[in-house]
Amino acid sequence: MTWANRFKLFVGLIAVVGIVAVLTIVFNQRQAQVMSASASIQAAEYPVGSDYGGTVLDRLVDDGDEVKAGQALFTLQSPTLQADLAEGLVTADNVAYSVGDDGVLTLTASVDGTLTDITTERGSFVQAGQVLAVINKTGSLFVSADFVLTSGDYARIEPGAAVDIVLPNQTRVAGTMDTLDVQTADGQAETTAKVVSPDLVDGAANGLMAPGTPVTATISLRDDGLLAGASDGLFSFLRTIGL
Amino acid sequence: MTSLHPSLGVPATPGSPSEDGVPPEAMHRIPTHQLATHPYPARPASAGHAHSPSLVMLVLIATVGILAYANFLLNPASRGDWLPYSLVIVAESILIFQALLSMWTILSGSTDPREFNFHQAQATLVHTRSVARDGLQNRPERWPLHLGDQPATVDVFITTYGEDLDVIRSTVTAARQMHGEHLTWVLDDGRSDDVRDLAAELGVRYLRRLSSNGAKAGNVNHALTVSSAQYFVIFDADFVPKPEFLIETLPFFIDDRVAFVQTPQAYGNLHNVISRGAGYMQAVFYRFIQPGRNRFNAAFCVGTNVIFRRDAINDVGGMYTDSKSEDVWTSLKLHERGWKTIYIPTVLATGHAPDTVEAYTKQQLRWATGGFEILLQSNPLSPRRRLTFDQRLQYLVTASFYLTGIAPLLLLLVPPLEIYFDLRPMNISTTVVTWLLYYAGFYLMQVVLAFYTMGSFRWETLMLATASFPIYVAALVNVLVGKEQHWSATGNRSKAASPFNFMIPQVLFFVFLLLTSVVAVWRDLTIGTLTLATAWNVTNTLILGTFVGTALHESHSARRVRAMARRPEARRPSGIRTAADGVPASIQAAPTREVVPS
Repeated sequence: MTWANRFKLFVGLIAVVGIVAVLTIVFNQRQAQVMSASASIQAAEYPVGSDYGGTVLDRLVDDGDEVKAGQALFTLQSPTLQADLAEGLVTADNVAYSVGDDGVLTLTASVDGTLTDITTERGSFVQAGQVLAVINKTGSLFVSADFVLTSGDYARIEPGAAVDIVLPNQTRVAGTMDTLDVQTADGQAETTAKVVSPDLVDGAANGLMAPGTPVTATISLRDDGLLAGASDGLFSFLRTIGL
Repeated sequence: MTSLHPSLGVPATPGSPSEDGVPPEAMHRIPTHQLATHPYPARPASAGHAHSPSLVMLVLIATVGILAYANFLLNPASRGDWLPYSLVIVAESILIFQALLSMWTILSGSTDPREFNFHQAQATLVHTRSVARDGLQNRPERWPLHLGDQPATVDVFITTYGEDLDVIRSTVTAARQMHGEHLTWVLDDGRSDDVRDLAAELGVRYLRRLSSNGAKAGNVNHALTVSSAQYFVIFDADFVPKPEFLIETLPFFIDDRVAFVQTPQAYGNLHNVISRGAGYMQAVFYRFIQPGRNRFNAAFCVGTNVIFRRDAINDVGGMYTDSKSEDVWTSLKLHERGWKTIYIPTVLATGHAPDTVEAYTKQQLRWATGGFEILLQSNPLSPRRRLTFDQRLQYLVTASFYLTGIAPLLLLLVPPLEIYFDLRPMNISTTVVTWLLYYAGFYLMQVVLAFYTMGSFRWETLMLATASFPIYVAALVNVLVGKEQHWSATGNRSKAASPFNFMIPQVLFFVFLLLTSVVAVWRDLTIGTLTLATAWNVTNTLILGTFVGTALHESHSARRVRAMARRPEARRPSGIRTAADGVPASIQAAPTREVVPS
């Protein structure tokens, strides 16, 4: 072999080993993370319902309206309630709703939030216990993410683990894992995680931070692999120099 | 009348005046097509004749398998991540296109190019009476040849360029002794006085030119300016012709439109992995593809073992000199001018397959460069080419054939993509069994087909095909940027270069795959399941590893032979030339086998 070719081979070998080393660290980093199978932003939901069946006299709000706690939402005329009142079984001053002298029931918002899922219209009849609308409580956004984990990976999830949330417009939000709910099927842990983040603000990121927005959530597992120290060191170095 | 078929008309008609005094056994010695066909026992899959029904069936099944595989790959439901998926689709499209078209070509090659007028011309090629009259019965190399009623003159050109004297000697001797009157020329581009002396010793003409323009094509063109025969034969210095070469090929020229008759390249030195791989790689081409191309009138010249009509070459302005693949280009020019070409799958000359990594690399680079040149500089589909549709199709296949050599590179990258990045070519829901089934439909059927047609499946060929992608990539790049690869003269055996000079990319790729395999196994151990990516990557590593191992072996034995050559008492002078071959003389002396039986 000529010396020029020996040199080429030597440099090439170093390059190959370097490439494999970098790729392995990338691979190992990915091994220490699990990406969600599906995830979406959700909010705490407060249903608006009635204990008495009756006819809807009026709908005072529209879908998507911001409502304050105590704001009137629906008025309802309920013959059952009038009968109960006449018999003295209930009194007019109850908590969630107020009853007028004429026996008209007014349903009010229990929390501040956004009204969604209105199911009834003026003039329609509602059954007792039926949900008429849902209020998404303001400031209660969280991410519900489904993960498919091997049992080994499940063991590496730690409470309060860091979660990287990526919105559809590639905005990244840092979150932490709150609660975990797991079911095992075919040896795989189908995990639903609730991820909370102080940065999830209603209507931020061009309105993408709203209930129902699909996101990608990547959960960091405890890295106890061979290269844990090395990759941590490399990535903290990359962060230090600003990459 | 009765002497129309001298071989069949035995005994000769008594009473013919010119046959008086000719012993009957002398008449039997007159060569005919019988002589040539005799040594070759009938084979089930002999090309040039109707194919066996089983071959047709196998080809049809293989076609169905290919189509099913293509359907599986292109099905949107099984598509995976776009990067590996595109790699797989590009690579497999090339392979599928080539496989389908070559199977079509194989099926087309079921007719014998020898028609009635061929047999008639062959029967009257040698006039037995005049041979007997002139007392030439025992000197077949002096028999005057006739085509129709006209005398036919033949020149035999042996092109040399620094080959070993022993090799040239055996070729020239055999060429001189071919049956039928002809003039043998040694066209020496190596400008060796030893070759000149050898030519003088053997009594053949020697020609040396002042320039070396146009390489081999220029060499032949130069010889055409000083010679005058109607037909000329070209042999590379290492192709030893059989005596019946002219008897078997010349009669085709009874058809005025025939420009050349090409015969296969057969190899006698299949003694190591490289030569077996390289030799068998071409066996399918010479036994099945070229005969099929006959039907398309698109059989092309391969530069040696070929006989040309001088008028045809004059018609296209001489051999094409602007390419290293002057043979294919010259064929293209001839086809454009409407000439007919003939290929017969009868082995009439035996040569040497490349048996070192260096020789193999140079040969493949030269051929692939020629193919890509045609693809990129003279697209056969272009309306400016005056070719028939059949010919366009066949030249497209030829020109794009070496893309199949690049396909393995793309496929080798797919498992590492999955191992490092979790990018899968196929949908994750595609099970291994489904995949295996479709995969077998394509590849297993190709192996079965190879097994049936060639009698065996050669792992060497598969290994070489997988490991050769850097050569073809280099050829493509050279053509794209118009760079000429500079290497020392072919056949220069004085300095034995290490094979690793020519395979740095393969070594680097092998190391990459080896390290990737280690990572893959570690990954599978942590996950707890064996993945297909790991299995593929380990397989690919082993294949490339075999190539590197072959090279190590070659380099080791070359060093050993060199060390022995340094001790003068250990080697005879004749042994020195094998130093570069890396082949012990005992193996070289082993009886040779031919790869391309008819």
